[in-house]
Amino acid sequence: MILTDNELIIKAQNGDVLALEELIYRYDKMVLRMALKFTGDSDDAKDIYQEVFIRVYKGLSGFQFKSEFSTWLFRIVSNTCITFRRKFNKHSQMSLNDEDDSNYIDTLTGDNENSPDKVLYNSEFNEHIHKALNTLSPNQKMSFLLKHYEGYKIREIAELMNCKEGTIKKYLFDAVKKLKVQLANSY
Amino acid sequence: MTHKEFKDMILFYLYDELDENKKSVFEQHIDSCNECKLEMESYKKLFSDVDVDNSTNLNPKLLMEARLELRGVLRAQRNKVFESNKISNSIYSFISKPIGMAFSGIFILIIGLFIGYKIFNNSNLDNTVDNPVLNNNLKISNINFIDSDPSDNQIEFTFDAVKPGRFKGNVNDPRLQKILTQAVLNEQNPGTRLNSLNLINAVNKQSFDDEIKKTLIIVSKYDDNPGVRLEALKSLSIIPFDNEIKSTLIYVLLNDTSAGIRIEAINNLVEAAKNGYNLNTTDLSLLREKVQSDQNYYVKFQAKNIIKEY
Repeated sequence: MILTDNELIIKAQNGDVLALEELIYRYDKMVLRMALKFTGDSDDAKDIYQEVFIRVYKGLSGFQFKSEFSTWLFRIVSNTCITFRRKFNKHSQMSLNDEDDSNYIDTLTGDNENSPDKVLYNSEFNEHIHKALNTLSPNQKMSFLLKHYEGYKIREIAELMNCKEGTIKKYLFDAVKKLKVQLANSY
Repeated sequence: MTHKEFKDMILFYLYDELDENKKSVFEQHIDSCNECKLEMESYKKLFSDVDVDNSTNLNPKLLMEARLELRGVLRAQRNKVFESNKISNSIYSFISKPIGMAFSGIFILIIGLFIGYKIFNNSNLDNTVDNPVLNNNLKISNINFIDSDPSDNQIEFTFDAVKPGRFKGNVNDPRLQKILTQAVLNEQNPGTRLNSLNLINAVNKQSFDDEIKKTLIIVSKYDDNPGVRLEALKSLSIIPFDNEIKSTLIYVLLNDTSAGIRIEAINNLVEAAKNGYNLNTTDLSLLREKVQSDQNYYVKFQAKNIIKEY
């Protein structure tokens, strides 16, 4: 018998490890795919994946079923990705300006070009798109990934990212404009 | 509506985010506006470019690595809860905050009043020992305050009380199996996990329940220790073969990095085929891929044998 998310959560809240694992494996591919698209690096994606599910594990006992589990999870994914990117920027002593971090691309495509992870990643993800996506700010990128690849409605993205719908529209609009310019230059 | 406003609507039209009214007004405009038509084409071109990526699947090896690492981290997290210094750390961090200090003062006052009440009512203080929660043998950890407002003299919190245990009994006792199953999933020490698996193997196969099977499947796929994965796979061969076990064996065969474990998986599949279990066309095509790609000659040979059987 297939249990619903909520049934699995109740079991997991009562210490059922198998239920927790089943719940995780129901969504973890989607989380890893998002993280991979967001970071463009297998190791970074695994770090985000791990961080997301540790947060889920720690927060699950307090989950009160006010929203769908998937909504809660994607809120965590969104926050973790955006925080991860900010941490990366901080460590690289780059601009912390949320809307103007176009230099970030140089860091990601510089000396690490031929690392094994990069090679693995390149086999999965078009390099041009990767470069273009990395010119977006974390919020623009997250809005675009959720809309374009995961198919969320703007209203849902606003809920996930705790923003107004108008703000998400602006992020999306700016993201697509930037991508158009970047991809036009790269071909 | 101005031309610029229509132009700004293109993206949201393509994402189906316009309401019916705006959509029909927009469609009327675009029929007569070449500039907007060209702009829309450029968006469509962009979408087709970025969609190239969307068709690719996640690398199963990467997913397996991520899952293995996550299992290790979660197991460590679970064990951390039981560390004895957890309680002192959480109490220290709580009382070091101003509100915590105030709360502790009031809490001590309440305890004092309670003790005073008990003394002056000639009651026996030793009765606290009767309360299992306050028994000294228990390790208290992970305190979470639900109501920390002492203004009404009532507070409420939850906590974990862990009691060391000892069990002696029949190997087929379901309670014993439950403990062993938890140990296989949660114990940090691979040796203990392995010992627990060996004991599970000793269980009468008739008394294997679904929980043990699920545990063995998870451990076969995702335990970070190859020895434990191999033992779990061997344990699975004791259980009556079914679709879940078959999927597990195929998953292991396709993803496990250890040749020894892949050999165990293919041997189990061969055994199932000999006993008349039918594989479907998807399974067979996966095995065909395996014949081409596996680096281990024995695995290739056995995969070929299974394919020949059908």
